[in-house]
Amino acid sequence: MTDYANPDVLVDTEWLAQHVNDPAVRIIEVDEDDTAYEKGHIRNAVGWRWFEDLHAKPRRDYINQAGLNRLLRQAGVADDTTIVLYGGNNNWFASYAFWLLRYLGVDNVKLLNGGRKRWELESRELVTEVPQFKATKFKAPNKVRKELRALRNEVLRKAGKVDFIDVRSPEEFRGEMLAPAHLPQESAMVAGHIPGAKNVPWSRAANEDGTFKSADQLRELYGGVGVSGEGQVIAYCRIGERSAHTWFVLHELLGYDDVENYDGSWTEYGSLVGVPVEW
Amino acid sequence: MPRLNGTIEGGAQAFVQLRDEGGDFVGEVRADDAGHFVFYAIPGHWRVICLAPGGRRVEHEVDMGSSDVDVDLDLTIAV
Repeated sequence: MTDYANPDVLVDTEWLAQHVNDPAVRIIEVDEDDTAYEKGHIRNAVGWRWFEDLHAKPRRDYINQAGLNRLLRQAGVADDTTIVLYGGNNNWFASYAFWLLRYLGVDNVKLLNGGRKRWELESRELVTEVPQFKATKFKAPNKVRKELRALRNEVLRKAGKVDFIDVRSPEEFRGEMLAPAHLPQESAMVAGHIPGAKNVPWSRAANEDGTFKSADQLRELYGGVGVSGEGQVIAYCRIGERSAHTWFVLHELLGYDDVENYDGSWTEYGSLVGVPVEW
Repeated sequence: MPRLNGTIEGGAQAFVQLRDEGGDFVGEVRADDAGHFVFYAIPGHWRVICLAPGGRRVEHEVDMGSSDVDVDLDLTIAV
C-alpha cells in the first residue's frame, strides 16, 4: 500500500485483526445490506445503517455535523480515536461513509482494504455481540468541506467544462439499465448520462477480493480517459455511493486535489426537466 | 427485464458477482443460506463468479435472451 499518495487511509485485514480489542480504534460497519451486521460483524464493530443513520429524513440530504457528532459520540469515538470503516460489496457504503466523514470535517478515518468480503474470504471471526461504549463529547474538528461535494447547480454549470466520470456500469451509462443488476430497475425518469462524461466503472478500481488495485494500475486506469490529477473531476453514479468509492481512489489513494462527489447523481440528474442527456 | 435465478450447491452465503461481456462488474450479492441468488439483467451474455472462503471459486457464463423472463442457473462450488 506504500505506492499510494496517502497509504495511511487504508488498513489491511491482518492489521485490523490485531486491533479489534484496541480501545483507541473504533470499527464501524456500513453496509448496503442493513441486515448483514446483525448476522455477524467484526468483533467490537458498531453498525451504522447507511440510510437510517446517515440521512436527514425526511429530506434527501445527509445528517449535518451535529448529527454526525451524535453518532460518533454514541460510538464512543474520542478526539484521538482512529475510526476504521468497512462494509460489503467492495466497501461501497463504507467508502460513502468515509467521504461523508471527511466532508463533515472528521480526519482520523481509515478504510479496511477489501472490506467485509476480504475479511470473510479469509475466514476471519465474525460475532453477533453488539458492543457498548461509553458516550464521549466528540466534536468534528474541522468545518464542513464543501469542496468535496458537488450539488446540482454546480453540476449544471460545469457539465462539459470539467471532467465528469460516470462510475456506473457500462449498461447504465449507455442507458440500457437504470440501476445495478441486483437491484430493482426503478430510479431516474430517463436513462443515459451527463453529456461529455467518461465511463470508468467504479469496480475497475478493485480486485476480485474487493481490495484496491495498485497505484500504478489506478493511475493507468484513470489516465486512460485523461484524468491525471490536472483540473477538476466530478464523479457520479446513481445515488453517490459508488462514486464515493471512485472519489476515495482519486482523492485519497492517488492524491488528486480537486475531486468532488456528486451525490445527487443519476437519480437526481436523470429526473431534472429540460437538462441535456446523452446515450 | 429478465431475472437470473441462481442456486449454488455448497455456496451458502457465497459472494456472487455478475460481470458483463467486457468483464465489467455489474453487481454483487450474497447467496442466501440455501445458496440462492437473483440478478436482474438485460438480454446478453453474462458471467457469474462465485467466491467463498477457503479460496473456493466457480465461474459460469450464461445467455439471457430477449424473450426470457426467468433464467435458472445451477452451480456447484467445491466444499
